[in-house]
Amino acid sequence: MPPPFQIPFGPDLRVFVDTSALMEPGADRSFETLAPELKRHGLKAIVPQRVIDELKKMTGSRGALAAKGLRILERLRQEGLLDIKGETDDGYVDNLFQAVFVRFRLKYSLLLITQDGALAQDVLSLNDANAVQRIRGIFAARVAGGGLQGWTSGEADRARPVRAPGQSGTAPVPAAIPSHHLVTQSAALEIVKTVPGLGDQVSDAAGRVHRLAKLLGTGGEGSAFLTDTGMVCKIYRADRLFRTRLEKLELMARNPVGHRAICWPTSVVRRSEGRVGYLMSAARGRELQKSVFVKPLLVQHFPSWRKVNLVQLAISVLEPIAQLNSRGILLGDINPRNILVASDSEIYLVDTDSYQFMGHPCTVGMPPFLAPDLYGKQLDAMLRTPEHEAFAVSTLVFMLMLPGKPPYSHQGGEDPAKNVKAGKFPYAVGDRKGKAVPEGPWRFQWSHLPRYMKEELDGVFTDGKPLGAAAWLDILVRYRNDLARGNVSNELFPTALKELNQAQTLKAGGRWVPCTACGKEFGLFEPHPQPLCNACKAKRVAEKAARELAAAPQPARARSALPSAPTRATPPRAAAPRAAPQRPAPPPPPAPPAPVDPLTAVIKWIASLFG
Amino acid sequence: MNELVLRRQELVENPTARVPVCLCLDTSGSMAGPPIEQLNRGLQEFYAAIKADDIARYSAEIAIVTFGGTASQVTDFCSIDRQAVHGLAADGGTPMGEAVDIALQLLEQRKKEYKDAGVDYFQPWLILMTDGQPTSPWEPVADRTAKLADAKKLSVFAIGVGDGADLTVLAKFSPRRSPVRLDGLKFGAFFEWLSRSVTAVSNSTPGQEVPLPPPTGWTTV
Repeated sequence: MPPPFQIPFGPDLRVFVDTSALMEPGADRSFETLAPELKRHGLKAIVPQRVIDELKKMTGSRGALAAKGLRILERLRQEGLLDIKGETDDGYVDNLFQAVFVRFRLKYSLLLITQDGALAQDVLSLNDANAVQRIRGIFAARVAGGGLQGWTSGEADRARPVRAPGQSGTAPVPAAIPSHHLVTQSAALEIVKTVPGLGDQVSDAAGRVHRLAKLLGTGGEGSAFLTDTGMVCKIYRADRLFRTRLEKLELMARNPVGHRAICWPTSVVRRSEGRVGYLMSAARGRELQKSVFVKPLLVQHFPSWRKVNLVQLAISVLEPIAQLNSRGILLGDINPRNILVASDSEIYLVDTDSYQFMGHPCTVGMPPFLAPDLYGKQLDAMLRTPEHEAFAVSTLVFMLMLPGKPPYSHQGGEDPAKNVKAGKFPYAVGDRKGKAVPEGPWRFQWSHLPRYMKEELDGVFTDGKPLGAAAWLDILVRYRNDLARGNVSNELFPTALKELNQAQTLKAGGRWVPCTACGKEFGLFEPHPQPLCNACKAKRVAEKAARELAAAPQPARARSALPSAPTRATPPRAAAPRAAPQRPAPPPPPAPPAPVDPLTAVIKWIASLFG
Repeated sequence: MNELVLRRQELVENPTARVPVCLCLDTSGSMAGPPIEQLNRGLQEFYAAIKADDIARYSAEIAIVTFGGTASQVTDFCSIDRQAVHGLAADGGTPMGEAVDIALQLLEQRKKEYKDAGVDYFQPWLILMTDGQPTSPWEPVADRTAKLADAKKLSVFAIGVGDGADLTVLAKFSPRRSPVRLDGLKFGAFFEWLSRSVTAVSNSTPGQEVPLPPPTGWTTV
C-alpha cells in the first residue's frame, strides 16, 4: 500500500477534477476530506463544464454513479469550492486536460484528480517533455480509500486502461521525443510494379486488408482514398516512394500522438511487393485557405461568424500544434492547405507525413510561413528549429486575425518570399505610425485588435522574436475572454479605424479637441494646426486618391508601342453571332455618359472604408 | 457600381497572392474553322475550371490578347468571377510581335497595381499560342521576353498549333522552357493542365521547381 498522496499545496496550485474521479464509488468521502483542505488554502476544485455535461448525459448503472458525482459537485459549489471552467462546446473532449496543462504548466503547479491511468500518464509526461522553460510541477492523483492516492509515471503507464468512447481524458501519448540527429534523406525508391488505385486492396502492418473505395483527391505526391474500413489512405506516386520517408512513417505509426485533431499515420500499407503509402484517421472540413482566408468564402461557409470565432479557431488550431511541439515534434510545413476547418472548435491537421520527426526532416514549406533564414536552404538536409516553427505559427496567427493577409504584405512589395526576406512589417503600434500599409480593409482590422495582440505581433514581425504555439494560446485565450466580456470589438470586418472615447484618449496621453472641419470632438495625439477627425481626414485622403485615380492612364487601354502596330478601329469579331452582345467595348472608348460620375463613386467608396 | 471602383475594390480586398496570366492567342485567318472553334471551347472550359477551384479562383488573374490581322486586347485583368469569355474569330495576318508587346505592357501594368496596393503576387505567366509564322517584325519583342524569362521575372509557355507553327520562332521567346506542339487540336486538355498548374504555383516550396502537373494529354512527344 503506497503512502497517501500529499497534496503540494501552495498559492500557485490549481486542482482539476475529471469525470472518472467523480464517478468512483466512495468519491463522496474523498471529497469530504478534501473540501476543508481546499478551503484552508483558499483553493477551489476546477471542473470543466464538459465534465458536468458528461455526467448529466450518463444513463443506466453509470447514471446512478454520475448522479452521485453531480451531488459531490453541488456540495462543493455550496461551500464556494467549485470553479466551473469553459463552455459546453470548447475544443476536444479527448484532449481538454492535456491542452489546459500544456498551456498553464509554466504558470501554476497543477494537480489532476482522475481514475484514468492513461490520462494521468499523459499529463505527468508533460513534466519531462523537453520544455525550454521550467515547469512548475504536474501531479496526478486518484480517489481511493476515502482520500487520494498519487499516480506515479510508471504506475500510471501500467494501469493504462482501454477507455470507453466519449469519456473525457486523452488517448495514450508518448513522452517527449528525444532530440535526434538528422536522418539523411536518400532518393532511393521503394520498387513496385504499379501503385494501387481505386478499387485495389492494400494491407496494413497488422495484415488487415483495406480496399481503396473512393478517391478523395490527387496532389503532387500521390492520391488520397477513403477505404472500406473508414480510414483515409494516401498512396504515393511511384516516383515519390522514398524509402527514408516510408521509414519515417513506420516510426510515426509506432509512436502515436493520440489527438483526434491530428491525422497521424496509423500504419504504412503495402501491396505484395512493397510499401506504397500509409493509413490515417478520416478528417472533415474545408481547407483553411478555401474557407477562411478569402472574405467571400468566409462569409459563404461561416455566415454567422464574428471576431470571437476567428479567435476560437486560432485556439483550436494552435492547441494540437502546441502539444506536438511540446513533444519535440515540429510540423515544419504549416500552411492553410493542410489545416481543415469543420467549425471554429473542430479542426484537423492533415499531411502529417511531412512533419519533422525523430531526425527525419520536413522537406517542404511555403511562403509566407517559411522563416526568412530558410530561403535558399536545402530543406531536406537540415533540421528546423523551434524558432522556425514559431515563425510559421506566428504568421498563421496574424493571418487568422486579418483573414488571409500575410504579415509582410506591404505597398511596394513583391512575391510572398521576397516580402518575408525584406521583413518590413507595415502596421502601426503605439506611437509608431504605419508605413506602406496595404490598401483596403487591413488597417481597420489591425486597429481593432487589442493592444497586447498588436504588441506581440509587432515583436514577432518587427523585432524578429517569434512566439511559439503555447505562448500564443495564453494571449488568444485572453483575447477570447476580452471579447466575451465585451471589452474589445467583435466586428469581423470593421470598416473604420477604432475610435477612442474621451476617457481612453486622456488616459493614453492625447487631447480631446473639436474637428476643425465638422466640429465633432475626437482624440488628438500629435499637435496639428488644423486637427481633423478620422472621418474628415479620410474624406481628404479619398478625394486625393480619387483625383490621382482619375488622372492615371486607364489600364484597359494598353496598346502596343511598336510603331508598326496597326490599330484596330472595330472590336474583335465574334466567332458566332450569338456571342456578339458580350463583345467588349472597343478601346479606347469614346466615353459614353457614365451612370455615376467616377470621381464621386471613388470618393464614396474610399470614404466608406474610413467610416 | 462604377467599373473603376469595383476593379480597385476587388484588387485590395482579396488577400491572396496573385498569379497574373496573359494568354496571347493566334487568331489569324489560318486558324479559321475547327482550330478557332476548339480554341474557343478550350477557353470556356479554362474559365469554368478556374472558377470551380477555390484556390485558382482567387489567385489566378487572366488577360487575353489576340493577333489576327491586328494585335488587340480582348480582356484586361480583373476578378475571374466578373470576366465574360468572348468567342474569338479568325481572320488576317499574324502580328505576333505586337501582340506580345501588348501582353508585356499589360503584365507590367498589373504588377505595378499590385505593388502600389500592397498585394502579393507571383511572377507572371505568358502563354503564347500560334499556328504559323509572324507576319511583322517580332525579334526585338522576342529578345525582351527572353530576357524577362531568363531573369525569372516571367514564365513563358510557348505552344505551336498544327504543322505550320514555327517552333524555332517560339523558342526565341521562351529560352528556359522549350516550345511544345499541341497534339492535334487538344486545346481543352492544354487549358485543363494550365488551370491545374496555376494552382501549383502558390503551393510550392521556394528554390524547388514548381511541381507542375505532367503535360500529358495535349503535347506531341
